[in-house]
Amino acid sequence: MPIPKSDWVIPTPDDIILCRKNDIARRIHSLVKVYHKWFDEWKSWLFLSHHVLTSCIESYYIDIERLKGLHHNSKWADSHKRAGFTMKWISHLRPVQITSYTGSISTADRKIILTANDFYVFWSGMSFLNVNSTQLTDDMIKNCVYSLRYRPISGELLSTQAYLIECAANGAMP
Amino acid sequence: MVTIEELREKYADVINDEAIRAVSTWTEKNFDDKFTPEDEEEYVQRASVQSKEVVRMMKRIVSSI
Repeated sequence: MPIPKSDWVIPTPDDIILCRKNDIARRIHSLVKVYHKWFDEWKSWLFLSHHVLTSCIESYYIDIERLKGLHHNSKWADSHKRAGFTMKWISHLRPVQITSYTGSISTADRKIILTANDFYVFWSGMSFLNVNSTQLTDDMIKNCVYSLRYRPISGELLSTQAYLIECAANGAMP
Repeated sequence: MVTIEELREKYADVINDEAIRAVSTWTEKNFDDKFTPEDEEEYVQRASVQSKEVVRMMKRIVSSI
């Protein structure tokens, strides 16, 4: 029997986590898989903290449900919001961590290790979009990685950025 | 940072069957972001297909930083 609209409760973060536990588990699984695809070459120095990643995804779902509640005409998050809010939480909590920094290491590898989390953020977000990596210029990626690393970010603004990137990559007017 | 254990502990007194049922109904109506398990697989597929290019691009970009 459906519950009348007037009786709806405002979900707590724990409610949201309970309700989305399957989605959360699936998303963690996906992000672990893609991490290994992208960063296997640097596995001696980097690792992905599953505990921190879990926090990222739980926070993502809590945040996105908050947003949908706030914009109460919004029934679902589109791909740009998924990209923006995924990027926000991975960027804030930084699940890609350095295990060791010893031994012989090239300058290029050192730079990748130090920026790995930012690249992980970027590609995790872009993979939600209808964008092929070959459509993105190095300058644009560098600019995004710089923003993620040094500027204050918000899920909403990253969603807008994701929308504009997708438009530009597909030759559409924003 | 939010962990599920902390939240469970913090919200233990308000989590009950009725609340879960109510939220499940709300979820069904409003929380569905239309991202199905198949979409999730497609996400991984898209990210994986491009992985070689992504690695090449990261190397190229850091060489100019």
